[in-house]
Amino acid sequence: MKVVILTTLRTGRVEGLEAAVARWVAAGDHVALITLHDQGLAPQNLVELVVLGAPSTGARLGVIGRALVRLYPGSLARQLHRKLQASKSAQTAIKSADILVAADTPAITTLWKNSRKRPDLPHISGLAAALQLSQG
Amino acid sequence: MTSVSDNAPEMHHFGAYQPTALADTMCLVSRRPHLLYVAWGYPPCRGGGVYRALATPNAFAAAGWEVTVLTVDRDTFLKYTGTDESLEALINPAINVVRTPFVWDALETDIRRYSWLRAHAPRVWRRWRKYAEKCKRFPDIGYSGWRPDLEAAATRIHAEHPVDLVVATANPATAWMAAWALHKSAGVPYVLDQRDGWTLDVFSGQRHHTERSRIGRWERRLLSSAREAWFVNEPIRTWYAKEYPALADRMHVVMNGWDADLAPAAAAPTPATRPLTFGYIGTISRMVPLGEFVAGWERARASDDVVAQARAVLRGYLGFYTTPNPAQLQLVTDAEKSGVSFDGPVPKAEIASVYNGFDVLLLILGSGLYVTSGKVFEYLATGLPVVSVHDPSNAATDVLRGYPLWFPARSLAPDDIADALIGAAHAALDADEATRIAAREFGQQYRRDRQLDPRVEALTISAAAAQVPA
Repeated sequence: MKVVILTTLRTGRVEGLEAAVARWVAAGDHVALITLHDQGLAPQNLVELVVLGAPSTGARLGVIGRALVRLYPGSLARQLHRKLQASKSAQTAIKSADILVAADTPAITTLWKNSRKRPDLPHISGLAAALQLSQG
Repeated sequence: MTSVSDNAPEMHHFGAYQPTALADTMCLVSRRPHLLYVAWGYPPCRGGGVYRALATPNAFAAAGWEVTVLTVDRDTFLKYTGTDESLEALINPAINVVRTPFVWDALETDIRRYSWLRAHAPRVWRRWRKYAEKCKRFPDIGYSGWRPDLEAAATRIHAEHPVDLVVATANPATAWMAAWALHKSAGVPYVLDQRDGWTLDVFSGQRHHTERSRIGRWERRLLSSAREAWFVNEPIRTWYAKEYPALADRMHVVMNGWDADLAPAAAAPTPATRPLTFGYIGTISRMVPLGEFVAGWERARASDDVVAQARAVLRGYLGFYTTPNPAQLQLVTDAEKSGVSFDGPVPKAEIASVYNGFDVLLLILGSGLYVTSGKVFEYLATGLPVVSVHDPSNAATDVLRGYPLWFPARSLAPDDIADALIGAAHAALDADEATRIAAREFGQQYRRDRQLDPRVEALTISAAAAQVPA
């Protein structure tokens, strides 16, 4: 089974990621992580890591800058969705997935959009729920 | 209420609950009384409270009542709480189980089922949902949506087969609305099985909700019309009796106790052999001081050979839902480095064999004057040494006081927990036969049927009396 995890968080900040990946790998599953940031904190036993690139946050631009960033390039969820569409390796990972997992709120929005195209594929919110579904 | 038929009555007796003094009265009963038992968590639900919900209607059925259980669809448990299908085999076959639909959208993890609003603006969706719940007539967030189906089902059951008594058990409090609906429409008496109480926070001992809040007003209204209100321990009953002194005489303690057909057989009164196995069985919620236990366990392993060679096994669910709590999952994964293994949940029907593999039991509980926990009773059925890792003021202390093989930690400090673990380990190896026999006998007083019998008997007598013509 191929599990694809999607997140906008830095890899070290995804709660329970390491434990979840360890359990999937122990069960012989293939785990891919698609993230915006890589700080070298991804679990060692990940089979595949796709880094989409840091989003524009407008944090350094003050109130006006942050307001502008909301208009263009848009919210974190919109940026994630756009980067995902533009990344061939991310698209390949998603197309070959048996289960898609959103590890944070912006990822839920992105996967919800994907679920309209692939309603047959499990799109799950939360690592623990995905573990429960895949391992019983 | 039902009345005696004008035709020749079919005589019925009330099992073991027929008191000699009321024999004449009982002979006039035209039909067996009908109990409607309302519980959200009923088999195959695997929650901790399900055993009480399983045992109570079984006790009434055994006492000669016709029993209908009103609960939610099996799918609810398959999707959200997890199931223990072995429990369904323990439902008295004479009981009629009626299930109603239940939607629990807050716990839905399948993104395909989300609305556009939930997927794009989850905070707005949550606020809208909370507001919508508040607008409903009953203040039980997450569950009040069950009320229409529940009341409709209760009304239908009563129309088809008149109900003589409703026993409704929390959580959730919405279950009481079936009792309230039949009481308002047909005067059917009801028992509120409050268990831990609604307005009392059992962990802090403070009121969750003021008397003037919607919940406070509903609680007073429901208690005022109840035939009886049941609580799981005396501290909670006392608290309620102080809050509602005029209603104190109808408040009773029905402790959880252990189930004779599910509990482990008492251990043979012989010493254990090394290496020892310490065991915990129960839900590992965020209130369980697992981190403190692991610190104490490591301290004990560093200072005592017997514990150093021992292992600790945790069995149960991580949190209250099917989906494991991520923080708890991380905690048990980290604890594996210290010789603590997490082996997942145990079907209740297999619990006896799991207990047989333990030499010492770990009672790791959240703190609170009013917290008893159901597993303390099951632990007592084993006659094994019990290590208490909880606040000494916990209500479980009252249950365990006097147990010959009880090793309470003085506090949740690592040294105190380590002392208790070491004491229990050596008792498992060295306690004499008389102490072990005394421990087994101590547990007998907490059998569940002994807790339920007095209430079932009293309610059986009053139901029989209600059928006797004036």
